[in-house]
Amino acid sequence: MVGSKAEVEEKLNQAIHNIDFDDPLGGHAIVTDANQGHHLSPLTYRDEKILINGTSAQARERHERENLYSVAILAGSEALGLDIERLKLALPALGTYELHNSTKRLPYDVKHIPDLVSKGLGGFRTWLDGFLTLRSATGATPLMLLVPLEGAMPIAMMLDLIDIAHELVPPAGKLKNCVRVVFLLSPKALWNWLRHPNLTLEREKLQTFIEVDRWGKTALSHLLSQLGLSTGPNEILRLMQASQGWHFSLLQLLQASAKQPKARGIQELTTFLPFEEFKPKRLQEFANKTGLMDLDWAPELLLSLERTGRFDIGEIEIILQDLQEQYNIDPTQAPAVLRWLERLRLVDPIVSTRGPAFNAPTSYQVNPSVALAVKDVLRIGSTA
Amino acid sequence: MNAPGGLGPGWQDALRQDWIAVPAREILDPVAGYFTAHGFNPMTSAEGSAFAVYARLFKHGMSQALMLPAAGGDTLLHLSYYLHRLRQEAMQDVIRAPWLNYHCMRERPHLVVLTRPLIRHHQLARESDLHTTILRSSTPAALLSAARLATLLVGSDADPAAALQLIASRTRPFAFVIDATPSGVGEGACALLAALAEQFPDVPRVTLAALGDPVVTAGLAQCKAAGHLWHARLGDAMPVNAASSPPSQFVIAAVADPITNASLASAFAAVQTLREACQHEPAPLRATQLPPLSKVLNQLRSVFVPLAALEEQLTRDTRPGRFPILSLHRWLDKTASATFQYGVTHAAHAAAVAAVRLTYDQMLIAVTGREQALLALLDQCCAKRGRVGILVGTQIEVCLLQAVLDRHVECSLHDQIVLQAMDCGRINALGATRFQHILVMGTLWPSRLHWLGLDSERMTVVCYPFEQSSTERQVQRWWMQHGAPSPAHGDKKRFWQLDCSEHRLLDAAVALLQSPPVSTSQLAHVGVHPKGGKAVEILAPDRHEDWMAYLMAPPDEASAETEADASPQDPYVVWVHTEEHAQPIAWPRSRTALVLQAEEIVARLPEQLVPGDEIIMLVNNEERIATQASLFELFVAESTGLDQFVQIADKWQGLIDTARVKLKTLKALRAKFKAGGVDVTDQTVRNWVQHQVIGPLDGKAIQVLTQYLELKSPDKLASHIHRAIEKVRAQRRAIGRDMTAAILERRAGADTVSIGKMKLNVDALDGMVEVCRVLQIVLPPLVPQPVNDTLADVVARIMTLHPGRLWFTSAATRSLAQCQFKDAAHFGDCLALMATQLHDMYFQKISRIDEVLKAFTNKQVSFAPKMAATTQGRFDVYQRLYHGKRVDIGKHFRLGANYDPTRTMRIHFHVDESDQLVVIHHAGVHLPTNAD
Repeated sequence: MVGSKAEVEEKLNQAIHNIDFDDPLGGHAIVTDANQGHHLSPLTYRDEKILINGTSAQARERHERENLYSVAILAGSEALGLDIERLKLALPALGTYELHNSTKRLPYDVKHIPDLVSKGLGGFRTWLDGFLTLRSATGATPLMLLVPLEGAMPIAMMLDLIDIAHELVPPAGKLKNCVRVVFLLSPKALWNWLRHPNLTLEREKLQTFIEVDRWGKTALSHLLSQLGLSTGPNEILRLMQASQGWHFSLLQLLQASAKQPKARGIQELTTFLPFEEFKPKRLQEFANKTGLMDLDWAPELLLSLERTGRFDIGEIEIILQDLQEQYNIDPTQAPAVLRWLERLRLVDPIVSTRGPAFNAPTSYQVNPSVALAVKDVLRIGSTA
Repeated sequence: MNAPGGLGPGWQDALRQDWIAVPAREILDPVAGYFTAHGFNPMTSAEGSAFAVYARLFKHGMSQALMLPAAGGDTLLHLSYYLHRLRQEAMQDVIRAPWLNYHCMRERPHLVVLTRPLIRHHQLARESDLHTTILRSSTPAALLSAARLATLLVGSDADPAAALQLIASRTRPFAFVIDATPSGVGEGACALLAALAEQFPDVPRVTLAALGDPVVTAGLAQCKAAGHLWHARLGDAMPVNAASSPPSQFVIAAVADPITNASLASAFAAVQTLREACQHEPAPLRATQLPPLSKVLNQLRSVFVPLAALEEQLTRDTRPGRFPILSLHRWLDKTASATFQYGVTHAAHAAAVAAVRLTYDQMLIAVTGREQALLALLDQCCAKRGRVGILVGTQIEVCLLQAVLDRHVECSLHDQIVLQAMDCGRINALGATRFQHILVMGTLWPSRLHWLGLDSERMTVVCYPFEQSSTERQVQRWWMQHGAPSPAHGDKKRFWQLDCSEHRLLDAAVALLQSPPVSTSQLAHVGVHPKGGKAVEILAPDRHEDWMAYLMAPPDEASAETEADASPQDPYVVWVHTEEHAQPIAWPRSRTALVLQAEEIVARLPEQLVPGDEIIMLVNNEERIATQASLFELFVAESTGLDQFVQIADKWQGLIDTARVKLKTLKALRAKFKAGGVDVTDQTVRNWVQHQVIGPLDGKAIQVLTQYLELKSPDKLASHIHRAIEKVRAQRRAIGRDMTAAILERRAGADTVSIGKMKLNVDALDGMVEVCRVLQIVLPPLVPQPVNDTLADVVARIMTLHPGRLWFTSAATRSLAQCQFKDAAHFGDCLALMATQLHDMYFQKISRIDEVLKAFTNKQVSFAPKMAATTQGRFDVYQRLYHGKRVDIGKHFRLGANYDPTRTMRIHFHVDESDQLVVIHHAGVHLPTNAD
């Protein structure tokens, strides 16, 4: 390699970084239905694997019985793809990438519990118990039960629901086919979860907890090839810049591609727009779906952070001090706030390409698409 | 019940709605009767709710103190069982929570219970699933292995630091239960909690206390390590499956009896005046002089049997020790001779003693209104045919009351009357069934207030008019804190919503809804006073404005010299040396021990034991050697119903004691039986009197006594007692059989054995019973050896007993050798006092000379501070050299006043400040005087 010592080091680090990102398990399942429509799974193959087998450390340690019953939590926003109706279409394919393991497995039957709050704990138990009894008698198809946890739910109820799901674990050998109970934490519920770290932090280690992420380069490349579009490095980079990996944006790509089936590359898709070109209404919709509108203090916080540029937890604390008069938020909750922003992928960690890669990020910046959305909803986009 | 303001359901509704989320809820349900099926008291609904809430906190590793009404009975067993069950569910992955999860619980199999282990072991050992063991340094490692769950009982009385050290080194606890009930560690809980929190910060601590025990509750509120507090108040209708019963109605009933009332009131006023006057006196004087007087007065105020009967019982039970039992008369005598530093106090004391004595004399011959009221109330209760509880102060009063019941109440009704001493540290046996009526006959000191939490329809507190208002205030105040319902949206709801992880919640608030259900009533019993007497209205002087409050203050415990342990010389004790134990075991000479012989268990007096005999011993009992009764208590008494039979059968012992006292001699007793048509041998009667058997084989013997003692419906009572005796005897035999079989099976290597209804694994059996081989029996001579000491022996004995206090100069030793004084014991008494009280007075300045001299006077020793000046001038024997200094030896003690040298002795001494010694210069004949 040619260049100064620093430049060579930089290039090598970049190369290692790229290898890390060339990650087959980072791909997402894409289901093609009878009408040739595509449905995108918000979960990477890695997530699916964890969802089915639990975290590997736990599984190894316990020599667990055949894992036909599992309880998992998925946290994320609609913009990341956590939307009941879309999940119902995308999740049946769960685990099929490993078909050599269970070649004859039928697709998952995905159900969700409607109106959980009014059903209460008793209703939930009856509902779940009903399925388990049924699946103990006949094991037609594997079953996935989605339980959306709403933001208004007290933390005790959320924990109770999860505990009940664990309590109902059927005796070994009783189930005829898999049953997966998946709790979906909406952005508001996630905040409720995070602001009680002493009740929840340990629980994340004790059971499957998946944070849905934006799509990575590998996944985007798969998607492009699935849509029959060119998958050169420039195209991938362009798609990454335009969509920022948001599920929300990729849905638009699907629509655009359906309209122009003959297009060869994404630059030919005229209806697929990057965030900068979104109309206010569309940005508003995006902002709503990211969850940043669910907590009253979040937009202002994000705006301040965006103005700061690069920030760390100290800045969040300072901004929260200003906000606490107006909103019900305590500066001591800054760690929870940061985790919330990070888990909803509203802010990006600044990963240094220098030095050891496993260092936890200490500084962040607001995701550019989120910055646009925040400015729009706070109606300062036009004056800026 | 939705509250205004959008607060959602109150805590009870929330609990009811979410009950489905409570882990292992089937054992918490009072109706499901999980525990009754296993022969225990059922879980009460107060326990159920409190445990359900705690389970929620426990999952997250939080600590909490639970105040439960009447937390005596089986509460600890219920809690231990439930906690083990939660751990088990975590082990099966049914619970995955921050603390309760497989990974954490796998490493921690032990539930450590801090309590009074000896009392609790028997109770918890009945549930074999708990694997209860008392934790000692000698506990075998096999019982504490990681693979075996265990409930470990730890006592902390002797040395809390050692107990903690033991816990840290031998156990891996998943939770601590601190038993702060009156049968547990009580007030000591807070110190323990703090130490546990420091040494085991992660392990949750759950404290169990009696609702409304003011001292413990206040301590726990202060103690951060106790975690959150939960008060299961009487007014809290319990959410789960409980038959909702209205809380108790409290009635403060004043017995009219104007004469007793007036004299008691004036005595109280006099004692209060004395208490105030005493403020100037030094503290030790106050501490020794006031309590006996208060003790007598308080006893007089609560006595509900003829005072003479109480005195008789107290005289019979008299024992020395740190907390001595003496008759009231003797207490009065003891305090009458008190001396004070100030004249005012002296006068107040004289007045107070006179007032108390007057009251005592009056009551001794009277039938008090309280006595009449008790009988009338009992009649009323019995007419209604409900369950009645009577709360009295001490165990002695329980015995007296039992005698009253025998005389006045139809025997068929005895089953439904339960007697309980409020000061009893043992586990109460009241059961969990609701009482129709509870009579409180003892005074409600703060330490007894928690008894108000018993579940009853009506609770009557009997008192005299002068104390009625203060008693009423006391009960009202208690109810406002512990009876009134908790607020619907208070701390209880926060617990349930887990809104408590950041702050400590004390659950102190109550809903201000209603006035306390406390009413007053008057009982018209005026008593019978043979001497008439005057009822004088006593008005408390103004300066005594709050003297009524003092009525409800806890009494100071009158204490005396420290208790002496059984000494090897005690003629009534036999010392049994065994192969298994290094220390010999003391055993009363007259009690039989159980010996394993071939394939049966036989009872033998300790004198009849021979080396090689195998005796059965109880591992965790204060009385180590098993008797039939204690074995029986261990294995059977808990099966409900039999308890009652045991109580009834025990009446025989009471009958024979009373008859023995009345007839004075065994011969007369035997004659009485013969006259009644029961011909028995002297030996049989002796066995009966010595309580060697459960009862006579012939029911007629019982009848003879019930008739002779003029009890109520004697024939019916006799057959009642006889039936009970038969039943108990049969059960005891069965237990004996089972026990023998179990021990033999154990030796043959069986894993489980069954005794009565209990199935035990061998570890549990080993934890209760062991068989020891006798090596040697040491029988101290029955009659103490006559003391044939010489004067020199006496000196040697006193010098070894009190080293470094007395010194005999060589002149003194010479004089002693020539001394002809014969009464060595008298000389010994004098020397002992010189080595103790006199030495203390000079060098520790804790007593005054007049007190010390009084002690000498009591032993017929008089003191002379110096010789007459003329004598001293004439004879130089009164000046001696000591360490090169001239010292004056004029001070002397005089034993006898006779010219006969065998009956007179003089001990001259001087006090040496530098050596801190009482130096004796002469002990012998009278030294020359001026008159010689």
